[in-house]
Amino acid sequence: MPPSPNIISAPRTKILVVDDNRPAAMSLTWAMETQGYDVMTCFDGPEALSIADDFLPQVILLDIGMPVMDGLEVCRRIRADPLLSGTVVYAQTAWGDALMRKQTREAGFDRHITKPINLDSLLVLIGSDEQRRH
Amino acid sequence: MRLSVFIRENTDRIIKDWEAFGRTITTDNGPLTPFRLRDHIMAILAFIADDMDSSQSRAEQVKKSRGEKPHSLKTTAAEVHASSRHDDGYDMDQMVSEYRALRASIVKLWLTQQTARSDTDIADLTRFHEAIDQSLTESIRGYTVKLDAARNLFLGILGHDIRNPLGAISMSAQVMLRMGPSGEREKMMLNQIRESTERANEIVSNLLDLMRSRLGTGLPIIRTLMDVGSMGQKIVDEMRSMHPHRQFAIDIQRNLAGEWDAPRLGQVLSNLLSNAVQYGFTDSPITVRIAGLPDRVEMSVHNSGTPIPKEAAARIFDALTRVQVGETGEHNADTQNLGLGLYITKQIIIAHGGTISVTSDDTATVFTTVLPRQVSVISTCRQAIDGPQRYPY
Repeated sequence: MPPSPNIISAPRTKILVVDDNRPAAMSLTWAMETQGYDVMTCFDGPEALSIADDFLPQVILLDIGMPVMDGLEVCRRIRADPLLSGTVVYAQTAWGDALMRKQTREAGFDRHITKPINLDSLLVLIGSDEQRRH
Repeated sequence: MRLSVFIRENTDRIIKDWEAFGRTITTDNGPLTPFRLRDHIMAILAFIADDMDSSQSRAEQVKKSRGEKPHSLKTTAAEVHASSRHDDGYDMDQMVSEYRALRASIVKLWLTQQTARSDTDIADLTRFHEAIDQSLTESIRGYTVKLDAARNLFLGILGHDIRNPLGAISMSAQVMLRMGPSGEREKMMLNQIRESTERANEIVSNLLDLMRSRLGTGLPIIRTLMDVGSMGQKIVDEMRSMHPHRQFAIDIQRNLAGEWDAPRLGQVLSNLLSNAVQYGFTDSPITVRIAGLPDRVEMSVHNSGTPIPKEAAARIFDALTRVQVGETGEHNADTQNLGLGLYITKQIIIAHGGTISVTSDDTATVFTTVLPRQVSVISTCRQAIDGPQRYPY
């Protein structure tokens, strides 16, 4: 059940969406907002790092194939940041093969989802992470 | 004067002719500078003269004439020259025409200055033509390599760039479905959007696999410890839920653990089963048999259907061929692209060092894959040398 802001409950889960492709970023943002999550969006790695330190999201949905700073590098820096030690970081990528999964695992990603994203599966994963927190 | 000596002593004149001919070739890129016109002609002429002077047995000559001369590992001047010509905007005809002009000009220059015929003339000309043909073949190979690389890059970019809008379309439809569409029809249409984008994405994946399989090292695979029987059961269960009106049977034997690329083998079995669903008789069962032998695992898919004609069966694993087989004989617009699916299936099997074959008659159509257990030393070395793959995008 999506958390409702009218009921006194645990604060809404904060999600940061990062993707250099705007339609991809926005459609994922709307999907998360529709679920009642508290969402921020950005389109590159450096911005993601600075927003994350302020926003302190529980979840980061991070695109891998970005110019300037790719998702693997962004993740390494997130993992080096003590402020974000509790954050669950998802890799979003079209590549779902064993090799890519190895690379994302080694960069410190907690989860690896393939594009195009299956919304139901993603929500189940985010939900299970929430359960573990509360 | 011997022809090889003539070539060495007259490179300036030969190159002048080469440049003059080059200037008659027009490309979209505009005229080339003399430096670019000359390109590697000096090295090519040196090769020709050296090759003519090298001793050659009768047997070697016969081999050479059949194009059986072994391809050296080093890139030759002719190959590099072809690469430059490709980049300069020459098409293959134009590159080849330069060689034709070169051949004609050298022979003419030489014969003109010969005051008398000599016994060695025919042998010289023979060796000369062989050397030119060698260079020409190398140039054609070099040019083709460039063409393939350009096309693969194009395919890759196309495939990758399409994924983003596909993802946005699919996600938007999924969100709308969750928000609760107003009616049954709206729900149907949103589902149609979602399914069709999944299909489009599958086609993109196949295109990208096609590209990777042609990169020379073949389709990359990662071996992990797995059980082919469990994989088979999982895929059959998936097929059962996707096609509830079809019968699937699976016959698994012992000894199916080993090291293969699990997701890729799943892809192979899914592809073969999807084809069986598509082309087999709807009322007859589809059977998967997986058997473990000491040195290999054999996985086969059996179904009854209209037999595949022999000519079609011979080409069935080629990329971009579509077999027009079906119960109704019609070409259903919804059919999975048989062309790429089986080609990629074969590439996956080849990457595992295995084989795939098909037999088809009135009783049954059977696709059989053989997966060797032993990882050969060569393939492990190859993986060590090539190192981790860099994804270009």
